[in-house]
Amino acid sequence: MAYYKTLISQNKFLDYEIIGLWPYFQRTVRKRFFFLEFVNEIYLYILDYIIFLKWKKLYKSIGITHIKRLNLSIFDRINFYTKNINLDFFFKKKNFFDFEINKIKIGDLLYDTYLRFRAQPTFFRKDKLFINKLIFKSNIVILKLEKLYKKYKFEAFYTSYSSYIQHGLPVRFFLKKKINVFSGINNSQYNKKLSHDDVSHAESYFKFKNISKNIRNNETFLSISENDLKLRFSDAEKKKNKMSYLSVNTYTSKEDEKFDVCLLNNLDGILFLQDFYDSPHDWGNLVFDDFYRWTVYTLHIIKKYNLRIAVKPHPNSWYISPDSILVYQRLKKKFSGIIWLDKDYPNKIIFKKIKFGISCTGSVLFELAFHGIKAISCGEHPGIDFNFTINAKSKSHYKSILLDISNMGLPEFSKNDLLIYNYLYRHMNMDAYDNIARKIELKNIDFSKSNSLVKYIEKISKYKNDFKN
Amino acid sequence: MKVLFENLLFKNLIRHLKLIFKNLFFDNNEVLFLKYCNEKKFIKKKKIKIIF
Repeated sequence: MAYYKTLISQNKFLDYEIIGLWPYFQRTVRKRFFFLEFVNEIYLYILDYIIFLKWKKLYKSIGITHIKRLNLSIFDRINFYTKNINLDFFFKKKNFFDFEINKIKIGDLLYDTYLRFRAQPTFFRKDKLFINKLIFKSNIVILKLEKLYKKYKFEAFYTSYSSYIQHGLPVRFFLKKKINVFSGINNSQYNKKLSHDDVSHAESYFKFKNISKNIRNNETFLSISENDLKLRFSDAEKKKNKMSYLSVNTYTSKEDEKFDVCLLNNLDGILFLQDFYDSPHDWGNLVFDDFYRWTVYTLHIIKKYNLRIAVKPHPNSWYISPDSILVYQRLKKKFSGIIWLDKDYPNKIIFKKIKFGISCTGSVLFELAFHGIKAISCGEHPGIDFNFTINAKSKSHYKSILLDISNMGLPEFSKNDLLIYNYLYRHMNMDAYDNIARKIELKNIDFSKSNSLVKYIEKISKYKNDFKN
Repeated sequence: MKVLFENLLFKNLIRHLKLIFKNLFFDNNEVLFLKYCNEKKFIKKKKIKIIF
């Protein structure tokens, strides 16, 4: 909200009427007995309305007086259903990723939405009731968006991000209508113009390699990147040192004493697990359908071939994804013969002992490469064009890499490549338009708690005072 | 089993009640933000529309 407040207080928005869009039409509904699930849905509907009323007041205070919800009345729904009975409301296609509505491809969005909002680590085709409900709701959302579009004739659509159908569907709908679509903050940007070829709010990593040709000898950029990495892998104060999205610092050595270093003595590599519910397709296509299938496949290979690879769960799960913890516990029990490290086990110690690390698309891939360790990836990730990972192209290729990794060398890349990549990924200003958010470094505020609003007021007030003077 | 069930039920109930109350009222920080925003005047001209 602070971001939008900053955005609409900019001069270029002063002449515009702003319409808010409340996209949260689907909350997490765990699979239960039918009646309990129904009761839960009603409760969530009421809770969602309470949350909506509160946020409506907050948004009104920043100047967004009209807020539209992405839902239709029960009569409109029945009417729509009876008129469009022949539409593809149900999932019939073999490849879910090809699913589209009104020629808008949403298979990846539906898949990620299913994982997060059904709290399932992987896609269960048999869960037809929920999948078809998501598809029906997506149709309703498009109908609602059509109505809004006809009524308001928008000039631009601004969104915080583009994952899941709640945000991704409006993004793709407005792009199809040839409306300018902008997303919000990511690692290096404060805003980004989206297009048909690039519908993700994440960095346009496929442009990195071309941009890098022009900046690879820029001493200032290299120095910024080097200092940033020194800080990131140092014992510096926790808050300054960690990655913005990580809830813990994996490079501190303050508590190193409590971890048993002997655990790593007979190991060759570590499998760094990823959060199962965290929109796995944000970076693009994966070799496996999702992180869970990739995890289970890898664990089977480790078990079958008795590979000296331990497993480290994703530390973020303990803070933002309790459902992942249950899955880790289940897998730990099933694959009890494999060494499972503590989620807080410092990477600093791990990197001194191992010869390679495995992650599907995680940021640990870059960290491994930076420490001169072979990194095995398994799908499109932001550093893919910089060749610092051994990237598997298929399941069989992945298996052969796992079995033959000791005979494989490090891929060809230089330290310069890594520094430039890190600069592009975390520092390069590639904003689509000039904005106050960057000037006041809005990203440095952690908005997970309400006291962030007070910090925001302090920052923006200081900026305005400085501007006046 | 009964104890576990009751504990889970109780914990969940408390968690949801907290969530409802948190969203029914504004906390101090939110009130401060509302006050800060309401001090500002918003210029509204019906010209072209933008959606968030």
